[in-house]
Amino acid sequence: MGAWQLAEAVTLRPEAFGGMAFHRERGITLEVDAEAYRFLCTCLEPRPLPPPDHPAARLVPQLARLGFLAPAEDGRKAEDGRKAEDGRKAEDGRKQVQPVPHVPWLGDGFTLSAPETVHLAITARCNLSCPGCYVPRFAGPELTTAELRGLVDQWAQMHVFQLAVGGGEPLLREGLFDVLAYARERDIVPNLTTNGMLLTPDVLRRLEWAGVARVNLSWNGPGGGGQGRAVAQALRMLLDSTLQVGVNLLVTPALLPGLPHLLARLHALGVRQVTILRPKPPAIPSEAGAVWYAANRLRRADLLRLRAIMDSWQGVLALEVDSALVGLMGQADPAALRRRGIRGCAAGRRMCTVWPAGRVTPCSFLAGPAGSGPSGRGFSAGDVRQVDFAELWARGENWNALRDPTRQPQGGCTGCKVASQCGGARCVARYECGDLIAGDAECPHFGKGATCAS
Amino acid sequence: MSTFREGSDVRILSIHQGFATDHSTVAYRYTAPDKATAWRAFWEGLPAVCAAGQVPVRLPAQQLLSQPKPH
Repeated sequence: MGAWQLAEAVTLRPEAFGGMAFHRERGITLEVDAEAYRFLCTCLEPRPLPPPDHPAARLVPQLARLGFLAPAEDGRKAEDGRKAEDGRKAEDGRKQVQPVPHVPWLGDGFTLSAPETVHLAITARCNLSCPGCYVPRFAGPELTTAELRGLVDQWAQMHVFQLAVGGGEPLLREGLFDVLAYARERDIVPNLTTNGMLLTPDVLRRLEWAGVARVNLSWNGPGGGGQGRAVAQALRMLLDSTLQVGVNLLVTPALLPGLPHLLARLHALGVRQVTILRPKPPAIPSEAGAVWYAANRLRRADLLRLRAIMDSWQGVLALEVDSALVGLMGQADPAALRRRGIRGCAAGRRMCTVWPAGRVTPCSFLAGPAGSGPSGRGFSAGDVRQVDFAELWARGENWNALRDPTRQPQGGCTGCKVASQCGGARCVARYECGDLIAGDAECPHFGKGATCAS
Repeated sequence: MSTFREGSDVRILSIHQGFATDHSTVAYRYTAPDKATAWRAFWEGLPAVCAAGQVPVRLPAQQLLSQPKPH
């Protein structure tokens, strides 16, 4: 038997529980225990298969099937072939597998040593004015392209796996393709969310060139937020490209009656991946935001109906739900959810948001200004223009309530068998009950008649 | 020479597939527990939906084929 080696497209990172491995081509994230992580590290160099009685032997077929291990020579040929199709990378020649990073802070298992994904709101500018948009209009100077490249360097050092770029409308941002391509060059997988209005064949070529893995098109209401024809046209262009394509559906009570037909329409267009998003409270308190949320929040009956619609489409479309909808899987086996890496709200523990001017918050919906948040100082951990990102992540002073593993969701979530994997929606709990760890009172599995604190 | 501890576990704890799908949230692949449970939940929720003034939408016929009878 020949030598085996870790596939070149794999990023490794130590964690308190062992480590993580991310496959940049397949988008697969593994969490492994300490011994399995040590084994993966030994595979950075070609090595013979472990003997059958070796503790790691039973892991090898599974790792090979998932694409994390490959025969050393075949692996090189496959990677070289892939690179030959990619002129930008071929110039660099074959890169070595990333070395294991030295991380100053390992996390504690509940909170990771670095985000899996950084959500980058690259600009606040937008060509649409969708009601309920959570991005505050912003007048200050945005991070420059050079500053963003510097941030990518910091994320690469921490072995951040993915970048989720949005806005505003990211295609309005000068330097966008440069940042996306630089992320890919530094082995961070860039993804993009857009309203699609500015997509052209040339833009698509540049997104492909930049190495974007997936583009998600926001379809923010019946008829695509009033832009139905243009969104459908953008979708057709995307589906003709080599990019992986998904559609984001913000599901409101008004959209629910037509949702089956909309899913059928998307399926007919060729869409196979749909992400269902739950309306969330305004990130920045405002009267207009409160009015919008009151009219568009999904209540218990809406969520039950949404679940029935999703169940009827399962297997036809690959449906994803945002972390605030994990409760809909409440009948599932929690151990099965754990094995599938479903961890509900990941704000401040496995992800964070970087805003256009450099502020870092746990997510896009816990972004209130000073005066809000657990200590009255808002949810901002700081500004990347003033403090290194790694320090902001490790410090996260205002995120303690999200990072305390002993503080499980309370109220009606108490006793729910998937509470540990779901966690409810923290931003909803905070909005409804004034407490980050209160229960999610809209969840179908929330104790009937329960209140925030009961 | 093995570097592994005698009798230790070597385990994959979780496998999650998917690129970052949205820049506002983390998304997970949805799977229903089973259709019977889901449809029961649907029928339980229907009175509240109707009370809220919404008209239930008739699902495409091919999807109704697998619909179990409500209890």
